[in-house]
Amino acid sequence: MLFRACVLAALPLFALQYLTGCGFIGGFSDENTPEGDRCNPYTSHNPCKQGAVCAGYPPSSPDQFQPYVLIPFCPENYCCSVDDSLTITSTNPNCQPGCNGGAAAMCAADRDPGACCYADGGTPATLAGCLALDGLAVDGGPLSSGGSSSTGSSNLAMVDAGDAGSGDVGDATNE
Amino acid sequence: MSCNLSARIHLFGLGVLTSWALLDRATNASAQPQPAQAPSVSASSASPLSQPVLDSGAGAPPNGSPLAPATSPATLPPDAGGVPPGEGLTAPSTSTAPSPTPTAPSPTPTAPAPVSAPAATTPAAPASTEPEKPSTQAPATEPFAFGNFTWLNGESRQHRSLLDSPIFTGQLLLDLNYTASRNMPIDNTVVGSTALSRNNELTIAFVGFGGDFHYEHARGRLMTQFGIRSILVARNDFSTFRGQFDLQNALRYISEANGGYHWDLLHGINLDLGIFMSYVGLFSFDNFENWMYLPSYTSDNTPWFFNGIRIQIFPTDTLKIEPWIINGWQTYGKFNEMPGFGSQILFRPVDWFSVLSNWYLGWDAQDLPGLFRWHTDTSLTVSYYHDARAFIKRVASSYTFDLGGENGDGVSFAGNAAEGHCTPNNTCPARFVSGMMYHRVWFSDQFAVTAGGGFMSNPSRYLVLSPTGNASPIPQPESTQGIQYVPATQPFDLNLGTHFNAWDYSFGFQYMPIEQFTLDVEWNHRQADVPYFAGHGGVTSPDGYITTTLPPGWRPDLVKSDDRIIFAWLVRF
Repeated sequence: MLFRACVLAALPLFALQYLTGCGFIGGFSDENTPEGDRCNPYTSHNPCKQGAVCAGYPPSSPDQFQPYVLIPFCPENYCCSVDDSLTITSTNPNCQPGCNGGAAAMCAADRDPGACCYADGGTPATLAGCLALDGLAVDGGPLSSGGSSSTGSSNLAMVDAGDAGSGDVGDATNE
Repeated sequence: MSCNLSARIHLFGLGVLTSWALLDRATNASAQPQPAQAPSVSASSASPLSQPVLDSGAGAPPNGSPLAPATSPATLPPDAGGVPPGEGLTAPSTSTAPSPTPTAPSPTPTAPAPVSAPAATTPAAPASTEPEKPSTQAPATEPFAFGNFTWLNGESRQHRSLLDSPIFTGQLLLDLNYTASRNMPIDNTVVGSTALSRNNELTIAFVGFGGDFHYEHARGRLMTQFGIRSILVARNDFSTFRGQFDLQNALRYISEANGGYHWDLLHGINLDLGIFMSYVGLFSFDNFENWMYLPSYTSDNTPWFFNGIRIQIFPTDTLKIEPWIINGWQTYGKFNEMPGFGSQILFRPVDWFSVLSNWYLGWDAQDLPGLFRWHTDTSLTVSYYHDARAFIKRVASSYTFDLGGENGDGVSFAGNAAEGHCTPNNTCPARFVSGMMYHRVWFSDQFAVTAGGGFMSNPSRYLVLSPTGNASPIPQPESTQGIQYVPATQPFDLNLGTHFNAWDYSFGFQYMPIEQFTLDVEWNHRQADVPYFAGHGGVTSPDGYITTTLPPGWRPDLVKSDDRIIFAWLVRF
């Protein structure tokens, strides 16, 4: 009887040790999310792997903890590698303007003129024009890449949380 | 055409198996020692037998349950299906399963005992106060009482009921689980299962209490259903959106509610009306009875319950034939005007082999009264090694194969039109082909390991469990927790002509120190050819909460694979 009780008690402890020691650090963790995977823009810390940030659609609530990097015409948020100036350097399709079908989804959802424009074209050359349809602008130099580019460095503007939804993606940074 | 072909294949297969098994039983009856007195306790998969007492959700024991009083002790062989050490050989039979020994009063009072065989060693409990009269005619033997079937997948391993009385045999089931996916969805939501629901949380999956009522030839069974499965299973029933009175809320807390009558004809005949368990796909709705906690698609995606009428006929003590007339394929209501029809055939010629076969025909599509669904399901379970005294006590395998389709109103089994172009003359494919197999090894009565897996192909996705949240193609107001319900903006495509192929494998370990408790640990991998499982972004909102505003066009994060570990804590009395 005592033996059975010990086994019964030991098994959950062993399992817990395994989970905390092995499984949940890394593979099962909400930390270190790989590039191109979804992320939570509302959380109080950067959930992405080192060198990446949670980029995409700005959180609806102001004063969020994380700075965020906008991905034009993207309704979701993805972990994307950035450089020191928080410019996206990732080549992952989810980190490009339109985020791999996101523009089409935004267009279908509310017929946003800019999103519909970009969903139809989807090239870097059309990005500025499509943003202009929504009253937005790209700050800085020319976009160096778009959804189909292999170079992967989009000069996408950054805004901090307080400016979420302010309209001009190029006016604010979180630096 | 397809239906006829399927029926022929089905009948042919059953004929071959039946012949073989009968021959085998005749030739091997003496070759392999049979626990003649081993009580079969529950019959899950088979189930619905007559009544079942211990049998949980699964239903009644395969055999009809005996009418005899539940209190009489049944003499069990030392290895009668794994009687826990220390419990002695003589155990009152309480289980749902029909009493093993005719002599012994049936354990579960609930089930009317079809049988009447006199007890050999134990004094049979008198059914009435009148003195017994010598009978010149041998009473019919109780179905499936000749062997021990507690090792079967989908069958209770319990040999007795602790909550027994002459008119009521109570039952309590507590099913808790913890599962963690490598995808780690931020909304803690599992997609694509009726066994798992919440990720990275301790989840009360099922809490049910109830039992079997039994008095003379009248019988009834009630099992409540609390916990998340009361939402998880009911949400798949679109028939409840036809008309008024909120059938989902009216019935979600009842997993079984049926009652009827037993006749002492042949080896027993039962007629029951109400909600009863389905064993299409072999596994039991009661996870306490299963070899694995998370079954493959063949079981996870086929019905757990039926609402209607069932007749259980036991022509012999090895065979059950169970026709149904029901509202639909795991539905509380009906989609169209016709009811659904089906039946189960359970054949257990020896105590190391079981064949379970189901078929179904119904009209289960909204606004498509000409579209009918047909489905066949066959499971073979074989115990090919058994040594009660060895460390490896038993080795067994189960094999299940399902074949089905939908025909009419633009679809057919062999159609090849593309989604959006389904017409009566150019039909889209709508079929279900699936299979699964599991292999299990018991180490003494307390430990077992199981490995297995399966596949499914389901063009038109009519048996694909729809994702939930913002990917749900069906309304799910119960998931909004009081927040105004907003229909999903990016529903998973369940249209006719779509395709879906998936497979899975799993490994599991179960620790069963006593008959009333199981600790289950398993690893499962699932894969699909289209994005279907919950990815890290979940299916709810950017941060996983339903209160967070969705950006216009926000898409749920569906991915093609899911790896997870599962812990389950199962208690049943």
